[in-house]
Amino acid sequence: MIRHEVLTDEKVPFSYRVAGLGSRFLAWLVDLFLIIGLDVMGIFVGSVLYVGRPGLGTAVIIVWQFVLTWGYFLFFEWLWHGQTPGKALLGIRVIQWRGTAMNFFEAALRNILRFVDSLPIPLPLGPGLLGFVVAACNREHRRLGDLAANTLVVHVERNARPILALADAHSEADCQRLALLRQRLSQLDREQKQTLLDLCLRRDQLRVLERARLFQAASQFFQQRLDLAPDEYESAEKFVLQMAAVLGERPGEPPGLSRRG
Amino acid sequence: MDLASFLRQRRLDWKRLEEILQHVEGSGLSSLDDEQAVEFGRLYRRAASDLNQAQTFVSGEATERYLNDLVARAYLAIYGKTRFDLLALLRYLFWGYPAVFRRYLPHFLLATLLFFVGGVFGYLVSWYDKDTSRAYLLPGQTIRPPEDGEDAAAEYNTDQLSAFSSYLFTHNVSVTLVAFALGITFGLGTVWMMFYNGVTTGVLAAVFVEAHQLTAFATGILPHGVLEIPACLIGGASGFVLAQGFLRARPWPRREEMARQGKEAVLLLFGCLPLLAVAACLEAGVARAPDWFLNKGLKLAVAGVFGLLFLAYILLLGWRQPSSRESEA
Repeated sequence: MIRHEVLTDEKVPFSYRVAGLGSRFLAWLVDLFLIIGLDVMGIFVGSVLYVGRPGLGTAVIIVWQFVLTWGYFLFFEWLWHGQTPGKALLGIRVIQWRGTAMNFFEAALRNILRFVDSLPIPLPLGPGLLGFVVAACNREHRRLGDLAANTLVVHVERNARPILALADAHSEADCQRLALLRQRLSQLDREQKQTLLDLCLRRDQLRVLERARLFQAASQFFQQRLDLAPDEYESAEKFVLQMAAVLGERPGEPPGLSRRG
Repeated sequence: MDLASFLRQRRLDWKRLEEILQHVEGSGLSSLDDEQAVEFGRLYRRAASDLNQAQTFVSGEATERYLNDLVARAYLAIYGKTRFDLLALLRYLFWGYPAVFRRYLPHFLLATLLFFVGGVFGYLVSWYDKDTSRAYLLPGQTIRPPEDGEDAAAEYNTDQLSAFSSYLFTHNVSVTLVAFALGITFGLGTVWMMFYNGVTTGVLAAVFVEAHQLTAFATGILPHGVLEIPACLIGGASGFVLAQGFLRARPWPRREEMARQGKEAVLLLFGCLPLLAVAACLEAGVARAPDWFLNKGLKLAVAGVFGLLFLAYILLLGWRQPSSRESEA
């Protein structure tokens, strides 16, 4: 998984997950089907007009096909700020290199250059061999149009929810055990609780061996002190982390049920 | 601060930010009222600072990831969007564009030079080897010298004219856009396009000269050519501007210079759309009009008028426009 780092104007670094060639290809496929559908509709309308005024009917078809081939991606990416219907469906979007939404110039540049990217098939409809090879050859999977417009395609993550920090996913079956933990943990004094949380929060800073040793010790201490036993196959670290998670939860809100989705 | 209390304190704000974001992503920033807009900005800055804090002090990968994605969404929603402004567009078209054109005059001249070299080459080839040049170098649909006693152009009614002019417009725009897009091949593709268009014109000229029909050639080409050929050359010039970003980026990073030049190239390129629209109407309506409708002198007069208008537009307008206003459009 490749991430693209961006520094906000507030000098806070964050990152986007770069979209892979697979999801981009699928999005393009959806767009292609849409274009073909719209094209057929245009031909239908043109044919109806053709009956009365052949010249007008022909003009409608010519202009419509021109608008679709050069304009479909351009206008969607411009007006929807980097998304076409296909990209929206796949949850990806085009952004500027510095992490902001795309504007008209980037959309125009990126999509007029589709013509070159689609070589050896000379149609501005979508990356062919050249665009694919170029995209496969650089880290952020940018085709020529992306390189020229300084854009890239990333995933839009909108399903992420605040997760109760230390705990991993709880299943409903854990509820009883959590209630037990909650009750037993109230026996700890303040200093013990603080130590428990500190250990968990700073665990990434420890060396592997020390980390294992400390969690082993803590696990043994709490097992004796609170008269609890870890689940079968549960590591010492996981056992301690679970207790820390219970300590950290908001009063009156069971962690296993608080998350939506 | 430990993670537990960090989450406990900040979660409501994040939830609120998510709600506003959902709203903004649906109906746009402008749909927020003043109070909400202020709140949105505050919540975003707060979330960014929370992200900073999470990255630095709190170790909880899930929280950090969540905050990262939240800030990323808000960042996209806030920055980089420009609103469509018709007035600015018109102002750009009349005053901004001529200035942009003059800024890239060398590129335009390079395209012109290639076009002329191609034209001379086409003419000479046609002179020495008629059959080959005609078989390979002339496009399928083109004008040809009239036979004796034949009117120079077929007669179209207005209905057919609409089809014809839309064909011309879309075709010419496509050629121009392709000439521009090929700029990314370090300009080589654009060089070829300019040269080839010159060759076609040169061969065509030779064909007419040989048939002693130079006036027919002039009346058939010039009324729209005075706009169409510059438009095509502008497409080539913008292709060269694009290529320049690739080739001569120093002292800036190539990535940034390319994007900057790319924007300029698009600015230059899109100015030729109105030219091509007018040219298509002229070609369908004037250049191929039958002689009884518009005689040759009148056709040439139209060509002259539009040529002068184009020159005046490019040379006279937009001198006093401060350069900062151009970039608004």
